[in-house]
Amino acid sequence: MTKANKRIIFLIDMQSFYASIEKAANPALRDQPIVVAGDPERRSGVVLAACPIAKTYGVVTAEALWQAQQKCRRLVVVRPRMETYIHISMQITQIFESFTDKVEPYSIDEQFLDVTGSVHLFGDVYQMAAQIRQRVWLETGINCRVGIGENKVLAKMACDNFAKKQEAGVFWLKKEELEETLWKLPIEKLFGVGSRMKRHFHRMGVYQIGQLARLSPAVLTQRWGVNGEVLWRTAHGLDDSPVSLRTYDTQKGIGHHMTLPRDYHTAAEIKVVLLELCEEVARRARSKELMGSVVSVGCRGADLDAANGFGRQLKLEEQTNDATTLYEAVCCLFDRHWQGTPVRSVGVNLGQLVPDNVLQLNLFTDNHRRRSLAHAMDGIRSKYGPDAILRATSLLGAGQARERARKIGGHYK
Amino acid sequence: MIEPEESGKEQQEQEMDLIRRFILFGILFRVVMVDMDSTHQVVLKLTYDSIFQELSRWAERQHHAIRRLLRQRGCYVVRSQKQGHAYVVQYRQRGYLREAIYSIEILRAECQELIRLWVSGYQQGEKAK
Repeated sequence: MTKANKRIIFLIDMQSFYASIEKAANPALRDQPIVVAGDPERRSGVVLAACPIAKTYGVVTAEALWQAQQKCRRLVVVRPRMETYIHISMQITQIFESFTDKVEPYSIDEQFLDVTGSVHLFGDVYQMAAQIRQRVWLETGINCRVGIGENKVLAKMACDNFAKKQEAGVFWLKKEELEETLWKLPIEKLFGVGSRMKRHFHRMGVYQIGQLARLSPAVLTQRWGVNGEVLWRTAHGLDDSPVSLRTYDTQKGIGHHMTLPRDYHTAAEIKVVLLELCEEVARRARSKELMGSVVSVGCRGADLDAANGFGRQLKLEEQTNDATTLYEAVCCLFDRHWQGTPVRSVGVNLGQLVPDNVLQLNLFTDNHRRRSLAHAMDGIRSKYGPDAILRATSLLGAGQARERARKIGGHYK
Repeated sequence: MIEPEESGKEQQEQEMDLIRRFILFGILFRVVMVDMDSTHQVVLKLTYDSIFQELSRWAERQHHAIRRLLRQRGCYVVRSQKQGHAYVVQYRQRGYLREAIYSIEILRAECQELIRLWVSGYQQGEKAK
């Protein structure tokens, strides 16, 4: 039996999600090494998912497609179908909701479940996990792994560090056993520690999670502020956040980012893409009935290194969700900070959001008219598709709007 | 029949699999007949109706055999219908109303696998003769 004050949280992760869907949908692919990757003709061809067979050849997620093909000559490349993946992800959420009402999608292929109140209906914790795995397998053809913990962070680390590496696919990471399990792992296995943070810790002589856990939280707070304390709490398996659909309700910013198919060299070309991004940001802000007063622009070069680009922000005179106003501010930032270097990646973000139910009247521009026009355009786009109405500049060679309309999150629908 | 030592968990897992196979064969025997009608719209040199009918009969026999097995275990399919991109099946399992949500794309792929199974079984029968 579980103690009354302890929660039981599952983090369920789908194995090679996109590749598993493609294999389930096409039996001819089941015994072959496959990767789901962007269009190989374009520079955006990176591996989004590799099946376990492809992984045995050393193919890894996020590497360039040509590199993956060099590792495995008989690699089958499947183009992504993002709409299908989203539908299957929602179907899996529905399956989970028949086990508990507390389901929180964490990403397209990972979901948190709080099963504290319903575990007794399905036997014990392990039986419930097995039933969930069986149902997902039979109904979607996807193998999933279950990490179990008394909070979200333990469940996540149980899944990533243990469940994924075991045949059984289920692991319960208990707080009282952390010293024998989690603390023995290298520091980079801690949730929240990436390659840069790992280097910092190595410089401090911290190589294992256990060493971090034994440090004073004050040492970490002094160095990294609140993030340091969060890392210390993570190492000790402390996390009070609830499993809730409302976790992401508070939106701080609305942004869009695009990796371009080639280097853009001239300001005119880059501004075409910036305008398209402003349109998308403004449209999303309007759909959420929000306006923002801080706009930020980011540009990076071909190696996508931050040092070869810039990221700057500007406070607007008044809140807006109008694409033209946004574009003027974006151009101002771009003209001021762009050094003339080739650009491969651009992004626009609108921050400091407030509800858009108040309109600041302006003597010199007809804001009401602009807003009506924007809403009319939104109506056309939502009815006939995002490329139903475009700016003329999007028809230039540099324009990406028509290509983007065929994609979700930068990958083909 | 259910072995006495068979645990409740194993039994439930088997029944989930049986329900899935029941649905697959049910879809297959109907779809094959629909496809046979579609071939009638095209002018062909020969008629392939006997192949379609044989496949459909085989699927229907399997479908009914699994239904009998399910009834012996106290399982009944209450309702099945397409809902968007999924095929939702509600079934009663010894009093409990349960639900299975299948991806239509996966059902189509599995039906294709059953046809392959039927063809290979047919070919093996030929070789034995």
